[in-house]
Amino acid sequence: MIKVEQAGFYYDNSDFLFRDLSFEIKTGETLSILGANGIGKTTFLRCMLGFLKLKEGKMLLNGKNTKQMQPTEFWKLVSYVPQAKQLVFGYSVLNMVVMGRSQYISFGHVPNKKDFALAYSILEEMGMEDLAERSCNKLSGGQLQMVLIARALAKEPKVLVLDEPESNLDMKNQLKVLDILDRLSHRQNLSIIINTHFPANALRCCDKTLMLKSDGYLFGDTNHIITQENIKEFFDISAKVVQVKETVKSYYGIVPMTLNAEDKNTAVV
Amino acid sequence: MKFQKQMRVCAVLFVILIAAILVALCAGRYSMNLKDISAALFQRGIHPQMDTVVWNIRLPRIIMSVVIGAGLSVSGVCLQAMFGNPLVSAHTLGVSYSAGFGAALGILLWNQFFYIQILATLMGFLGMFITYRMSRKNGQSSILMLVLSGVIVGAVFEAFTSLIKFIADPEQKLPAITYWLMGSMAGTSWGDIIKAVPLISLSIVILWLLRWRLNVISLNEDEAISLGINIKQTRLLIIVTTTIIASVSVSFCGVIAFVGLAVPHLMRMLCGNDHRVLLSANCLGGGIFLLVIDTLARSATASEIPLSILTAVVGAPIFAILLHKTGGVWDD
Repeated sequence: MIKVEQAGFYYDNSDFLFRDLSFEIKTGETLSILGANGIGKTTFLRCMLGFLKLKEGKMLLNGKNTKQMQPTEFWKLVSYVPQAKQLVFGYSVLNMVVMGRSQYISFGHVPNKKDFALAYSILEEMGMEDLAERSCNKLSGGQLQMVLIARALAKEPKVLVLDEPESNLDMKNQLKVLDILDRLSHRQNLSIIINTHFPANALRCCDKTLMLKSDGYLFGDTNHIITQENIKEFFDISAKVVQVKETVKSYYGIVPMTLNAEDKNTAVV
Repeated sequence: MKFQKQMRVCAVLFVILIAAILVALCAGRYSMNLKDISAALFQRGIHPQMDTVVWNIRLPRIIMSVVIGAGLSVSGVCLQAMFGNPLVSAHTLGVSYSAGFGAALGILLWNQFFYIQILATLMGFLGMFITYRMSRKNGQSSILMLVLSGVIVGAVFEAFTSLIKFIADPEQKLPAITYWLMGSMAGTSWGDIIKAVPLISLSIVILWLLRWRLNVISLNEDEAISLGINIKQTRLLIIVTTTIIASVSVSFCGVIAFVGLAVPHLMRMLCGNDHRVLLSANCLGGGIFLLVIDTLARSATASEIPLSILTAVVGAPIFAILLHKTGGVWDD
């Protein structure tokens, strides 16, 4: 579905943020992108979405180079969920979700009944139909994030890209978002890419993980990538991966313990 | 807010607009009642003097006020959506200042209506062009760069205008320039209507066709792109049409302040943020507002009061009261 080959990007000529990055995700797979602050997670995400142009390498979508795709073709396949932020103009939830259909609304037209019905049914699926007439600026952060996901789904995409969807959310809302993502990837065969700060969340719902550091990366099955050794290497901390076994399923947690040795010394001084 | 309620607001505004037009036809130093008006409109020749007042003086002024009020309000609301900022109006792109400079230069050099109009329109477009070019970096122009370039261009043209005022003959030309920069509908003729109204109406229609996209473009740039709209084309259309509206209105009626900022906000408070309805509401609301202001300007005192004085003096308190009542929150 999505294939990235030898991708590289820099803002400043001499300083590559990432280079020779290659991986592949299949339909229905979920990829998490992990890495320390400032390592280029968001930049990489923006490159994949075409907001920034890769300086090296390419990305293939269904076997087609995204650089050769028309924006309309690309955005019919890919949906983007930004971080939930207060809006300047508080549109109603239903209007916001219908905006996901904008691509199919030609010049001079407005969304028709079908578009609204689709938007409403997505809200219903997410159990949010009660909020349809509410202003987006009167929602909680968790609700607004759900609305943005609903908007992304209104397009009926093949790929969903989310930028830190569970940041700023409390535990319940985090679980809600993760469960929805899980359902989408496994039942609706969506390929999902999420940027996250929480390795535990990646372990919970992502098949693959891409871990970035300044001079390299790791890619593979999430279980194999998120290990104590890798966390030490990529995040510069000592942490333990904890597994909790319940009857049906196991759950994971990451317990950060100490900063790495050099940092400790400077901290004491 | 429910669609039906928004439609009701528009219907009420439409009725108010019709009433305001009738009042404007009656009001003035040559006072007439509705009977006189209908006679003048539909049975010409009974009172030739009344015919002249209605057809040659009041009707053109009324049409011009309504169209320009609608145009300025619609362009204000569209620029606010495009910039994702409720504080923006045509002044932000520097267009009003450059067009005002053109008018001042025309008065200084020739003092003929035709040249003033041409120069104001040309300078309006020049100002927009410079703003747009200056904001382009690596072939792209971000919203922040556009705003900053607009502020720069506006400041420079404002300085040029001050320079012209400084060197203008203080007996005749300086008052004319000052008067122009405060806006007036006085002396509007059918010739003006034929030149100005089609241009402004066409711009309004184009912006109205964009009404759904305005909702989308008011989001973050990345979000708007990801929703699949052609952001470059949409922005260009908005910039060109709002520039046409601003320069044409400056070239015929001088600089009219406040309408493009106040009316969009009043309409947001009345019928929410959905631009599908907001554009029609602004057309009606802007028309009513400027028509009422112009009627006051020509009939409140013995001499004409410049429009910008009244738009602020009358508009600001209404604006302040509504702002206080709604808390300045623009939610649907």
